[in-house]
Amino acid sequence: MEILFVLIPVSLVIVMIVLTAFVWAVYNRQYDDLDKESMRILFDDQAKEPVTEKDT
Amino acid sequence: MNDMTQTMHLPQREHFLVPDVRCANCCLSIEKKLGGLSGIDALNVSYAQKRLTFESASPDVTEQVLKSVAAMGYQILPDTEGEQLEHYQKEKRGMLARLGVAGIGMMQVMMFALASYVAGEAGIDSEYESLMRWASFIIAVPVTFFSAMPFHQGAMRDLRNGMLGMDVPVSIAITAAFSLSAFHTITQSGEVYFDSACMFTFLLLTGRFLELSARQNFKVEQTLGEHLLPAVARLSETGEPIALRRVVPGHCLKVLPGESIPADGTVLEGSGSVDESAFTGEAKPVFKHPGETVFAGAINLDGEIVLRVDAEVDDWVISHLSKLYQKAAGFKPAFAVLADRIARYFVSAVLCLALGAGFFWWQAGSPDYFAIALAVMVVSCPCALSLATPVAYAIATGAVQKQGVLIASGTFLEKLSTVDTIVFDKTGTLTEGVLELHGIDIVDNRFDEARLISMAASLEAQSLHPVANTLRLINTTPLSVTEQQQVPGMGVSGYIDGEHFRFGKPDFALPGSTAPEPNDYYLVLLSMQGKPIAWFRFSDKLRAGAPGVVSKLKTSMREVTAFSGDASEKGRALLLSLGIDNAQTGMSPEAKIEGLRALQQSGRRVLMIGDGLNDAGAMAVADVSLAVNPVDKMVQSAADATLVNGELEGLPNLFAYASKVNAVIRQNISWAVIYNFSVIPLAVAGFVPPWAAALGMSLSSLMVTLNACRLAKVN
Repeated sequence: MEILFVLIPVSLVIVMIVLTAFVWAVYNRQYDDLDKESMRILFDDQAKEPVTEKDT
Repeated sequence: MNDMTQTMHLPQREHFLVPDVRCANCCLSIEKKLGGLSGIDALNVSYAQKRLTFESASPDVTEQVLKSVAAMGYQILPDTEGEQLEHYQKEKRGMLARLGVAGIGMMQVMMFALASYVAGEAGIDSEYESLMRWASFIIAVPVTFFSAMPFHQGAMRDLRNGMLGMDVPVSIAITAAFSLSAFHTITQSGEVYFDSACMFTFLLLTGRFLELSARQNFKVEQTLGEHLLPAVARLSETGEPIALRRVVPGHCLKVLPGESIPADGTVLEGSGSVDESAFTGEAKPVFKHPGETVFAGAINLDGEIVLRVDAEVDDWVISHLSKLYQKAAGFKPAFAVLADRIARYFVSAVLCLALGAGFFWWQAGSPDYFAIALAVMVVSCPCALSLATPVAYAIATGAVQKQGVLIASGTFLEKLSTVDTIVFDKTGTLTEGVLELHGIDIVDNRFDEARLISMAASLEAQSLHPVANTLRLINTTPLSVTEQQQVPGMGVSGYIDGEHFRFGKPDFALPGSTAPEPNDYYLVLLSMQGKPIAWFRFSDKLRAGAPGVVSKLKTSMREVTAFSGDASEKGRALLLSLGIDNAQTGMSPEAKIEGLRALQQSGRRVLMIGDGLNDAGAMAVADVSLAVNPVDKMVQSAADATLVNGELEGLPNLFAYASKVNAVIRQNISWAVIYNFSVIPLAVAGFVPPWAAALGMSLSSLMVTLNACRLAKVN
């Protein structure tokens, strides 16, 4: 059972990574609007050039 | 220098409302279009809030955004509440992060704690136990100092203001449990309570998060309601735009297809489908003909409509709606106020009790003295008690509003469930209140029909009675009337070309006269200088659903009756066909009040349902009152609640719902009281371990909230 002295610290590290990732995601507005993102895949990729150029 | 300031222009956050987005797709297409613009950053179109936000360094970009969105056919409006909403959003993000950390942390700590629970009496080897404790300690740090921060901050704020709020015992319990456990971990002695502290934090945060989301949704809906209105309207005569705040009653406005109705008014010309879902919750468009009322904020779908503004901005349904909404939000039933006041003393009592219990057990030599004090403090938190009523009321107000019922008085639902007698007004309530002119029996041959109609219509010009509405629509030549007077429930009088005219009930137009027998119509007499000139014959038709509603209400053991101002045989027959056989007809407003008082004196609890000025007195006297499609603001303010969509079908359900609301509130209060008073003695006696106390306290709050959530649907 000595392995626990390795596994538990490892699990603690993983939990800390998970928590940091979660908090980062929340503060990066990843959870602000959950209705819209599911539809995004149905749209074509965005053209990145300015609209004015497209018009000419 | 000038160039310098321009290049150093800081990116600014801009907020706009896009109320037209109907689906997530709309948001994405707007984003896609705007994403192509240069100089735009952090662009986001939120479907949940119907808002567009972006950062840009120059005002030119903002202008381009406005143009592009407008070109796509979406309405775009400045969002004055943007900052505030941003703040809410930030608060919610913070809360979600804290909740997530507490949730994950709680699971981890529970897992570590399980080892020693499973081992039971025998225990586990001390080196493993120490490992588990250290692991729990590490996880509990972010939970105590990050997740539970709102409680600590709240407690500090309370203490600084010299009061004891509910955050104080919560914060003390979490901090004390953590500190003592940390101490025991380091010294390898005693018990640890990391699991209790984490679970307590998580469950309490869940409640706070739900409350915050509800509050935010409420705010979003409310500001959207105000922004449903366009900033400018179009005058129908000249086609010139006019700022909405300059619109006054009497203005005629033109509304093109696809535009929002800018003001409450009556359709004069044109017809079309109107989406009134913002008021009634009914998604199906309503077809509007000339003479019908439209509400500001509704959307004109297909027809071109000319409307006459009927009321001042403050009296528009949408203004009332947002005021009522705010009032309902801030409404605290007497019980909740009392609960808040008691809570302050309760909290100090709880702290003393916890200290006392801890001291007693310490002095008695029990090793569990700290666990007992902690359990007492946690278990007796009166959170459930203070949540019991407000949550239920907030949910119920929202739910009935979706059915088209606006509650003005907080006691409406409470009283409605005790009602045993329902009094309907006939015209406008059981019937549609749209009268049809069947004919005119001319008594004095000097006048022809057209002249009679224009005289009657001009006399009624200021009135909102159904008769006035009908005449106004068929009248072509308005006459000038002086000394115009309205006698509610009777009629109108005034001078035309120096001659005194009276128009109304036979007895009013010509004292002592009665309608010729037998009459099948609603008869209105026009008299000049004390002589009859003509009888106007009107008829009315029943509201769809009225018969079904009356029979349903009758089967629910309630007495249904009607007080009608109309004395005609036809009116009586109409009521009889509904199954109302004890109706009283030909009543003046005073007689209605007397009738209601008589009912109340015989021990009845009466609900008065009416629509016009002639019912306002009776509605004020009744135990509870409901206004149906009121045309007059006085009626609306006299009533405890308003049925905006005029659909009576919802009434029988409303009674059942009111009883349900009261039942839920009673359950919540009794549950909270029973819980608090039965668990405290057990905790003092040392029968409740801290983890059970944390679970019990949080679950009792959650149960109260979830019980109230049952009220979300009226049916």
